[in-house]
Amino acid sequence: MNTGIDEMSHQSHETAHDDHHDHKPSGFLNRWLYTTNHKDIGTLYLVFSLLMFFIGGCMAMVIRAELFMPGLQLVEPEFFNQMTTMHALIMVFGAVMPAWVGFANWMIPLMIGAPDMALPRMNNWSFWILPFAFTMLLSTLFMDSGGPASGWTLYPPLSLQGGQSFAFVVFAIHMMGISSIMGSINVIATILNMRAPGMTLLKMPLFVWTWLITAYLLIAVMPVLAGAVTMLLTDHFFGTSFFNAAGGGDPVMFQHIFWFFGHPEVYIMVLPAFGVVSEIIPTFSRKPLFGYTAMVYATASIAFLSFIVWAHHMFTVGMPLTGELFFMYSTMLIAIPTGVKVFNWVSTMWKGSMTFETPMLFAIGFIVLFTIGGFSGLMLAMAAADLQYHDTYFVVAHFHYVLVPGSVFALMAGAYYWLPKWSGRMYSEKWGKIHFWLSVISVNILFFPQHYLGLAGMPRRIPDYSTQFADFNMISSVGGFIFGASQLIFVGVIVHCVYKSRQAASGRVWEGAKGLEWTLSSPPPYHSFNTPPVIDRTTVAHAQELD
Amino acid sequence: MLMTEKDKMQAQRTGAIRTAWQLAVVAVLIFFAFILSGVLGR
Repeated sequence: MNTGIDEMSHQSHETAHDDHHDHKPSGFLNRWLYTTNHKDIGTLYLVFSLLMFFIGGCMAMVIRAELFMPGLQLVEPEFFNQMTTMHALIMVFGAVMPAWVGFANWMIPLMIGAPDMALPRMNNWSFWILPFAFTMLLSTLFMDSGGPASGWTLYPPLSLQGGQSFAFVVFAIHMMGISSIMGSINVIATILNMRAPGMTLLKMPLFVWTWLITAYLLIAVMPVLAGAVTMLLTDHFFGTSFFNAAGGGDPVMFQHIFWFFGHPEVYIMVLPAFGVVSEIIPTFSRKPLFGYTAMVYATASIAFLSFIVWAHHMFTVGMPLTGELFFMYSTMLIAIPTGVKVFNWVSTMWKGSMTFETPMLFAIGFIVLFTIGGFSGLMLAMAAADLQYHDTYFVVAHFHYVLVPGSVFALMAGAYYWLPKWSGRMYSEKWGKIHFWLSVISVNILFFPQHYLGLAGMPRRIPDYSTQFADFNMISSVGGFIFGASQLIFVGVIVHCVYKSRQAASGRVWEGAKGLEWTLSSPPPYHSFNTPPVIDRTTVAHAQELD
Repeated sequence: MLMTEKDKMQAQRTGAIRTAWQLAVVAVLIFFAFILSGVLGR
């Protein structure tokens, strides 16, 4: 065992630890149900989110199959509405958010040199609440009154017209919120208290920074959603009239409260994506990230602005002109820090020694396609123009560009980037690239025509449509089926990598990778950084910041 | 007096628990603040 940590290599140190402390709990229940290990809990989150991704994806397939042709073919309109609502709730709360929490669990302690998350038992709770929450949510589909069918926004009075199953929906959302808040508290407590000596805030990797800011956003807005759905619950079952106009309530107030949660929620799903891309681009460009400090401030600026733009979702509801102008201009302001980020990623690649492994392909796909989603967001931000775009497929195209080739592509990029670190084996680069190209082509076939459908006036959340929309809907559905099927390749690549691959991964998997996580073996020991690592130029990704 | 490794870990843990409680209280306050906004705003 080493005694002088300043002169040893981290690799040998961790290998030594490996010999003594790499004891995983025996038995399935001990290992997974009672686990307090951040790596195991990270794996649980990632597996759970992948499962939810496919359940939500199957619902998307039902939606696209019904919309393949005009007319009612496959499902009843009521069930179609349940599918759109459940697809959104599951993808937002069950797939994307838990996936990022999984990344946070796995990577934050490794990136800041901490032995584990600060509150490991609470970490276990945060995860194990989720399967119960989603079982409850999904069970509503089998109840007499069916699942929620008012869209994920749950606007009253429509949402209050549902049956008894609505109570299950509200309780499920409460549980998801509690899970998210506990996860966020853990992330903040870990980052603020558990960093290795010398790992000052402005030496932290960008992924850690984006998650720190995301966690504050979560703690600020998840209680707002909880409050909103609690008021819906009492309106529905206990005779209150928060949002019931007949009893003196105000349905528009729900929209204000919901979007005060809902807009920051968009950034909750996207900021960690910015973090992952900011890790991957420098690695495969073999250059430090351009403008690290600017990236941190841009992330914080986006988070701040996300709190003062909510009413751009409700321009058509009727509000004073000054209100419309304020929310229009504040929304457009977000383009500035976002533009800083895109500029910095492109500048990082500029004159770099770039290679295009699968994580880099997904990261570049993210930058290009997320930017398209950003531009259509700017179009929607214009209050006058939004009167035409509102509630059309243009909005559907916009937010899917932000969330699918945005958030989901960044998740894919991160998964391919760190999978060799997690599993200790290399994945198939050939199949990774096939997955990327099929995904990037089909996702554009899926969502780009929806811009035209929206501009031509096709409303969202309808199971049938005028024949003038038939061609673009058919193209979109074909893209959707290819995109959905392509994701099976992703599962195949993961399963092959974890169970079949014979190519062992080195500690520093990628030639250009920098950061504490790459100083550990692949896979890292079950208990890592029990002795704090030394922070120096070779381990911190952005060495110029140390000057 | 120099802190031992054990003291440092204990200090980290105390700090983490304090941070967690502060954040939990903030979350609960926000929840009730928005319920109150519903009561006053109708």
